[in-house]
Parts: sequence; C-alpha cells; structure tokens
Amino acid sequence: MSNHLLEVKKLSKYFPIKGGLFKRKVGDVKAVDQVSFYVKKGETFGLVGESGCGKSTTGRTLLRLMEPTDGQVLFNGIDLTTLKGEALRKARRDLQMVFQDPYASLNPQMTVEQLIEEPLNIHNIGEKKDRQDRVLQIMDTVGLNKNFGGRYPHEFSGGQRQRIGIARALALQPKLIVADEPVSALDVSIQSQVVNLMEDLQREFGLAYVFIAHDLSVVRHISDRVGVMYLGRMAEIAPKEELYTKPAHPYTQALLSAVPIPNPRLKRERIILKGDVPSPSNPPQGCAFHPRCPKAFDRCKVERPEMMHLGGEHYVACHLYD
Amino acid sequence: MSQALLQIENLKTVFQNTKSAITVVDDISFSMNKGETLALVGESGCGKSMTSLSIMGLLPGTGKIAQGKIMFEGNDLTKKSVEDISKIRGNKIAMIFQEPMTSLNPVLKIGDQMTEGLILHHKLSKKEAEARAIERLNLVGFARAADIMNEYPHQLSGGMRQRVMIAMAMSTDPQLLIADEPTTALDVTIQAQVLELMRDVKAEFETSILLITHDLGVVAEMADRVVVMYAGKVVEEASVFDVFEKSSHPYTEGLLKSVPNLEADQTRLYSIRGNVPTPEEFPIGCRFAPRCDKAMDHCFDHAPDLYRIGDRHQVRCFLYHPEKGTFSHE
Repeated sequence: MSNHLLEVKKLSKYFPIKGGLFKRKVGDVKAVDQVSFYVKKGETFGLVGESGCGKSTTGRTLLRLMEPTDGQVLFNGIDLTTLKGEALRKARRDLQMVFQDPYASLNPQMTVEQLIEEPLNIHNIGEKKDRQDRVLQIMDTVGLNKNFGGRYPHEFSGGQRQRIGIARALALQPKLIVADEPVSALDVSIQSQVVNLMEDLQREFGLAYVFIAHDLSVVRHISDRVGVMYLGRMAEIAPKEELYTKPAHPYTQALLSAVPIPNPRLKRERIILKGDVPSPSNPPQGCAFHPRCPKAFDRCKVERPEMMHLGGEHYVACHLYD
Repeated sequence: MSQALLQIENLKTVFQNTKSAITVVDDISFSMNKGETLALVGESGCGKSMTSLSIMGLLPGTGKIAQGKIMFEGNDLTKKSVEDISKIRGNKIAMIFQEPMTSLNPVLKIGDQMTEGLILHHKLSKKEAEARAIERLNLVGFARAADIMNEYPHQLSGGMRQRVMIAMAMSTDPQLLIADEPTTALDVTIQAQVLELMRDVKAEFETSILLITHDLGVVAEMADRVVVMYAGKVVEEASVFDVFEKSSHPYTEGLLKSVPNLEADQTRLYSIRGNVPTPEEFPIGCRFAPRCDKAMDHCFDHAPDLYRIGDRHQVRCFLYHPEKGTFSHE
C-alpha cells in the first residue's frame, strides 16, 4: 500500500439537474460514479473513455478543481477531500494539471516568464531573483527558447504553447501531474514531440501522471496501467500490456476493435456497437453498458457489477467474470 | 484514360490581404476515378480543406482560385457561373463537414432540411422528397426515420447528426462526395459506425469519395489512393498500399513513424522536429527542408518537382530526382 502515491476510493461527482417552477433539484447527472483506482510513484496511469464518460471530471475532482460529492482521494495517505484553506494550498503544490487546450488555459495578457513564474509567486517560493532563474531553468527543461520569455502565448504554435502549460505545471516540482487530453489538439508530428517530452520529464523528476485521453494508441504508448471508463463508472483497470492484448470487458474489446489501424492490409474482425452512449442523467439500470453490450444477459439488466479481481493488477466490472 | 471523374490541374488558391496575397494551395494536381476513394492527408494548415472548398466553390472571405482547372465530368468548374456551380453543388457533388452541428440549421426540422435540396435541385414534389428523405435516413441506419424527420438537430447526438449529414448528402445520388474530417469530432465507436456507413454507401451507389483527414488509421481503412499535402503542396501521391509500405517522401515517412502503434510497444516515438509553417512563412526551397532529416544543401534554395517513381506514385523530393546523385549531402 505504501507505494501508492494516489489512492482514489469510491469517488463520485454528481451535478444536480434543476427543473420546475422553483428550480428544485429533480435529479442528478452522475458524471463520476464510485470510481476507485490508484497511482504508484513515478508511473503513468492512463484514463480512457469516450466523451461524456467522466474522465475529465474525475481528473478535476482529484485536484479539487471540482468538489467531489462523495468518496476519498488519498494523496500520500492524506485525504485531500477533507482539506481546507492553507493545508489544501500546500497539498496542491504536489499535484498539478495540464489542460487540453493550450490556447484557452494560458492568460493571453501575460508573458511566458510571467506565466511560468505565477505558480512560484502564489506559493511564495524564493526571492524574485531565484524565481527568475528557476523560470529560465524550466524553460530550458521543456525545450522553450530562453530568449522568448518576454513573448505572449499567441506568438507561439500549439505545440510550443503546450510546452508552456507543462512548464507551469512543473514549476512547483510536483509529484503528480493530471494531464487532461494534453496532445489531442496537436498535429501528429507535434503530438509525438510533446509525448516524448512528458516521458523525459517523468524519467528526470520521477513524476507520476494521470494521463486522460480518448486516443487509445497514445495512451498505450505512454501508460503503465490503464483504466477504461464508461458512463461515469470504471469498467476495467489493467496493466497496459494486458489491457491491449487481453481486454476482459466487452466495452474495452469493442473500443479497441474500433480504432482504425494505419495498415491497409489488416482486415480485422470489428465489433460495431449499436447506438450511442446513453445520457449520464438517466443511466441504464444494472450495468450501464448492457443496452449496447453484445454479451449482455439477464443479470446485467438488474444488477450493477462490482469491480472484480482477475489476478495480477487486472480488475473488471462485468458479470461475465463472476 | 477519360475515366477521371474529377481532375484538378495546377490549382492555386489565394487569399488577398490588404497588403499581400497568401497562397494556401499552390499548384496542386490530382485526379479521381469513378468509384474511387481518394484521401487528402496532411496536418493543419497544409491546404487540404482549402482544396476541397475550392472544388465546391465555397472559399471563405477573400479566397479565390488564381489559377488552374477543376475538371468535373469534362467541365471546368472554375469557368462556371455562381448559379451553375450551385446547381452542381448539392446535386452531383455533395459535401459533409467535420462538425455537423455547424452545418445543420438549428431552427429547422431535419425533414425540412433534407427535403429542401431535393425540391430545389430535383424538382421533386414535397411528398416525393419526403419519401426519398425517409428512404435515405433508413439507409444510414435510422430505424425510426419518420420521427427523425420531425426532430431538430439539437435533439440528436453527434453520431446521429453526422449520419443525417450523410443521408442528406446522399439524397441526390451525387457522383462525388467530399468528406472533410467526417469523423474527427466523433468518438471512436461512433467513428467506426460512420466509416462503415460510408463504405456501404460507396459500395451501393459507386460514389467517389474525396476524404480529407489527418488520421492515418482512417486513411488505411478507407482510401484507395492517397495524396499527401504539406504547406500547400502535394508532396506524395500513391496507392494506399504504396503510401504505407513504400512511402518515399521524408515527410510521409515521418508522419507514419510519429503515430503511436496500438498493436506494439515502442520505446520512443519518432518526432518531426520544428513546427508546421504558416502560409506567410513557407520556406523558399523545399518547404519541408527545415524539418527534414535527409535535407541536402540543394533543398534549401531549390524547390523540387514531383518525380514519378512507380505506377501512379509521385514524390516531391530531390532524393528521387531522375538523375540520381546529382545532389550530394555535402
């Protein structure tokens, strides 16, 4: 247990649906519904799923950018969900976030130097001079030209801007970075630059990542273990090798078979799922996946499957394995 | 040889700024046969969307075709009047876009939007048009097509909207379907549905598809032939097999190597250094030279032509110059 840097226990985030004349609460969108997983020191935990599955909300709730409805987030044994004020601020130094859209997450009126220095100022680290040295050092680490410190975000390309976002997250020497779709907005040739950079930084600083993405190929490349989410719930967690070669959950199987592979001679058996992802405000009874599942049986319609241990570090929430 | 349905010859598309003219599509040529799927591949800013908008006569703002021919069924579209183009568009040539929500009218019912073109272009009566629309909605997999006709776009999910767009595009039996990143905004399981649908439609109607995408997986799955664009130029043109197995341009090679593999582990991803240039800063020589691992001195101040290196396989790179060894690394 002691090597688990982050331990998430039954984390839930519900958003109220208000309706009627007096805007009373009429229901909940269960964006994240009793999700549990752990992240070890220095490893990358990939979180995949389709839009609306709750992967981004999970990431944000971990850092308390959104308040969880229920559950625990243990970071180095301390429950982040109970922290307040100064204690929370201190704990957050160790957890940072990188966002998908480097265009939207950087203040356009601040220079690169100011942007990277901002977290240091907030946490009152060092003297002005030390902070400036540190900024230059970080810019060098993430591959930004040190002479461009006085420039504004709009003067950089997408890939460069994502480097600025990473530099900001890195400034406080965190232990864990939650990266929410950090390369999805980038071109293929730029995407690989940023992925390589993130791997280099991990090796150099012993960082752990929660890498949230919908691109299964990128997640396979960067992750040690992968969690697959569907409609707010965790469907399967496994070491990546196992998940990609022996997926257990019918949803994981369908998801993997749907990815187009850049090889024109490959003819694969494809599992085409019927229909769309249901709305999380009104998830199906029982297993959330059963209406689309090719292997569903009666029990799936009534009973929600719990996470089951398949051996090693492989877990699946599916009645087929009971 | 007169099999070509669409033939683009030396197309050049220019945007006029207050001060200067910016060339976004620079001297592009390619042709498409009937029933063929041609993928136009490249990263953002390479000019692939502008090529398709040029064909459709839908260039935004100050964009205009400065040079070249767009031969469709033997007629040059660049010479046609706006009225003639609009007759061909949505009739013989149809287009689907990346984000279906922006191309569907949010205040009109699906049924009204689907029948509009049929009544306008095909002079069908309202009844006939509705019957045709329902038939096409069935074709794209809507079980309750008659209900969908009475719904508004916001009532449908992203995948359903894209299927409506395809049904709408196919409602006039077009010879050519231009699909600009048709699945980029969709989730992977929905993408699989839409791609399968496009394959079915192509098989049934022998429609030619011009597929614009940056996803090499989608290319491998859908295309018969591939045109790779970089910085407004065609850098390689080949059959889908040649592109993936004998890719010759260093850019194509780099793109293929940059994609993480779903089926095997790599220790480190290959990456092309530097950034995609914007049209204002296109280099003088070979436009890829500053990012190319194999660039020679010659590449920086001379622009290469397209050299034929196999059956319908062309590459814009001095490494394949017919007089090999003319240029050395020194």
